[in-house]
Amino acid sequence: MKILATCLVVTALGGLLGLVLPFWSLALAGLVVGGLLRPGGWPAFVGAALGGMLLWGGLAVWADAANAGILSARIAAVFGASVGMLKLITAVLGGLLAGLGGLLGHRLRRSIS
Amino acid sequence: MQRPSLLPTLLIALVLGAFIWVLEHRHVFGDDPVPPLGRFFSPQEGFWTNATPVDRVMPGALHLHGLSAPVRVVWDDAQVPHIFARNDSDLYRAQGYVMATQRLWQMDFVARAAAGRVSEVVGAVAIDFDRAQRRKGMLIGAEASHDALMADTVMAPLLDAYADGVNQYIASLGYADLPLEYKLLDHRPEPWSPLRSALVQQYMVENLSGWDRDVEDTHARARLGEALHALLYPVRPPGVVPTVPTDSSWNFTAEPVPPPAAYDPVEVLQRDAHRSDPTNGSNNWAVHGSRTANGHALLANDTHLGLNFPPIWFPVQLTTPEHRVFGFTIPGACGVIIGHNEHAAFGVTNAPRDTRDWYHITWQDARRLAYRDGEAWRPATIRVERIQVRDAADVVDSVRITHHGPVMYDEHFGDVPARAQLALRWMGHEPSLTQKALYLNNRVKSHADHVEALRYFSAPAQNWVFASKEGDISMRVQGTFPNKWPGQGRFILDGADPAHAWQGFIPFEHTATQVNPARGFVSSANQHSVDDGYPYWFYNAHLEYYRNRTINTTLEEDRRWTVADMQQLQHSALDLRARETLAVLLPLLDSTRLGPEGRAVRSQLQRWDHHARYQGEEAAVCHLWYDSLRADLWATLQRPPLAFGEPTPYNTNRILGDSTLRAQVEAALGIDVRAMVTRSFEALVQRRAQAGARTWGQVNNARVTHLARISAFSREGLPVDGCGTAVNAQRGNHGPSQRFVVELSDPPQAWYQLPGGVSGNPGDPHYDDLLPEWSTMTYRKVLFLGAADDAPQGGQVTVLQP
Repeated sequence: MKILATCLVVTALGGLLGLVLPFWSLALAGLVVGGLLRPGGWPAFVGAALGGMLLWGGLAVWADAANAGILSARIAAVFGASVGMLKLITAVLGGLLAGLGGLLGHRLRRSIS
Repeated sequence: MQRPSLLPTLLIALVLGAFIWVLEHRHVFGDDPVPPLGRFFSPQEGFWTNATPVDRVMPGALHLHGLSAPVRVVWDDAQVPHIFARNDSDLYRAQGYVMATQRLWQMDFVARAAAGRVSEVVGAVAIDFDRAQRRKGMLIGAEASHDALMADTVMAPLLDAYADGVNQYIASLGYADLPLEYKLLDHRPEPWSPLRSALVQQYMVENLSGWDRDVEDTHARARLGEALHALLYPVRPPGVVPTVPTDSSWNFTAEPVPPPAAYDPVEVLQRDAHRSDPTNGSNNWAVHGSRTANGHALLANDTHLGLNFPPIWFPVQLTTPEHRVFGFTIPGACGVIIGHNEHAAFGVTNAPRDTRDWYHITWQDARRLAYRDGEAWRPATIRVERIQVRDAADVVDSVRITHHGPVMYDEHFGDVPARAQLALRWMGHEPSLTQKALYLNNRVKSHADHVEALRYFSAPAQNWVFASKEGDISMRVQGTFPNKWPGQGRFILDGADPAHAWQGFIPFEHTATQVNPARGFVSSANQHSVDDGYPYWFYNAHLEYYRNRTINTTLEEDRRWTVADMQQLQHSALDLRARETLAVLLPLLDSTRLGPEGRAVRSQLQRWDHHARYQGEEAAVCHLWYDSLRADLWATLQRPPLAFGEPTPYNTNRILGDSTLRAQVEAALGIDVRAMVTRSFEALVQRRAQAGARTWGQVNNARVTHLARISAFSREGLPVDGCGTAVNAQRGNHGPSQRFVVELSDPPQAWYQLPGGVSGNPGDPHYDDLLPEWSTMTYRKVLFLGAADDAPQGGQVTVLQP
């Protein structure tokens, strides 16, 4: 449950922060949630990472569908990857940013309290 | 409770910080730059936001400050904007804004390239390019034109309005909204300005008049002597009708320019590596109403330039209560260049003319502060060019400026050690009010208006074709040209001899012009502009010999011409060069030496109808054979390491096809032409047997290349007929960069093609949606909307509010 809650809150908060802040705001979302929600160590990382993956992966899949895959095919060719790989990279980068943020939030919270 | 150790926390913080740092910066691995991956992949601000939804809805209303009244923009189903404004100022403010929404990165990059500022974006690889741009005086020309335009009370406020429109769009952009190339190359748009519009114009001047062969000809003359040089590199070989033939006689005489004493330098430069493509050219023609099916004049124009994404041309309709014009503009320019309004249609091809000359500068001493001019030492000025280089220190280049222009090649640029100090005198350095000519030409009502508009058109020199609803057709070789003594500027000139300097310019009233000629049509395809009857000396080292004859022969047919005929002619893949080459080479081929395979190839060529079809093999065989033969033949002329130009294919055929001339060349060069022809054919047949037959499509590889050479954003192997010497002048990534046909009915009707799309965004459905039409004979009808017309089906409307 904690993982699920962390995941969903990170997705929502990351989405909001990303409207006004650069990409690293996703780590910030993870950090805040990992610190305030007190999910515990691993749940903080896993939940936040899943949230980041859900947000970035989801947005990428959505944008790609609306675009009928026109751009993703070209960007994939730039990187010598497949379109699926492109979405995976996007999701994993989001997951790592949020997950590391979540873990750091958890540790900071423990260090302070 | 025990306090946890701080170490893991710090470690995680460190890992996260490092991770973010890596993702936030551009990295270079070997020669491959990688964009900041965090920003680039973030679907909230990176490339995913450039994925335009296929059912995108244009904003219904936007604010554009400085407008005096709302401006209506109707986007048709190809996303071509049709702009309706109350006055000129509003119109060009809106044009600047709309252009930026579709092509911001392109216009920004082209202005940068023109100014020699590419190193700022891509790093040290472009230093040589940037230095060349500055040394050839791109900025000198752009600044001169800018100053002249900003002193013009009509143009200055309009260019300011255009720049403001672009800048309001730039100001509205966050990182997420930036065109994709900025994210990929990791740079930012620079504010627009009238100077940058002048730089875009300068880019075109360079594209279309940035080539000459003076260095090569100087070497060739020194090595071969006058007679052999004249045979191999004639000023003008016979057999081609000029753009403006002398019908009767000209009603003026030329101001005489006395030729000076001979000057024969021997070695000047290894290579001038910074010239434009001399085959940048075009076709245009107009047929008089007396020779068309429905009595309305017809006009056609297709321009042969580098085929790039985004396309160099942008279709747009511009409307005020005073005028309504549709046509093709270049991002960065006000108004349209090729197009039609309610009264007339107009178009351009490049007018080849030697407006680039090189002067050998004699310095007083090693400080290079003064140079010889007649009996005196004349001081040079020094222009300090500072080039910013990404990830490296600035490069500072001190360029000497003489009255013959900037010294491009010296001990700091070009040969090491320098063979000669070469200053470049170029029409591109002169102030040009071309932008004003376009403004006036968009509003013409008659042929007389057109002539008055072109009074301001100085560079790049163009063959302007014109046709009006009233029934006039005309061709003008318009540009400002130096009045030269015969032969001036074919070879390196002596900067110390005042008689070698440019003496003056041909007056506007003496422009070569043809109006409503008896043959019932006018045409141009970059052949020589005038014949010997024209009172002034004409020269260019590169001329076109084939397309122009196909067009003229076709238009001379006794027929009633239609729009469809014009479109068909634009797509003609007849390769006149191949026909004439085979007529010369096949009889020279020693058939006793051919095996069964060689005989088969030969009979294939004999049966061929000389149309360069991409699916066929014949054009490939013919081109490969002829290219290798000419390389063999003319390699005998070379004397490395000096620059040397090959005789043209046209003149090669003239010599090979004439036994007297052939014997002369064989004796002079000690070669056996028949043996070379046969040998090159045998080699070709052998290669074909080993590697397999190749179609013309495989050899030609018709393609459209992204401006930043990003292959993933380019298209290769397009199914397109034609070749450089066919009317459909498709050669690699060079060819018809638009096609346009107008019928001068009331109102005029027009059809067009564009090798790409309106949008410059590789993530936009309109990035390359018009390419399939361009590859075939499918033309798109121009929507020539009235101010009261509703948006067309599939179209949308944006209102720009003050």
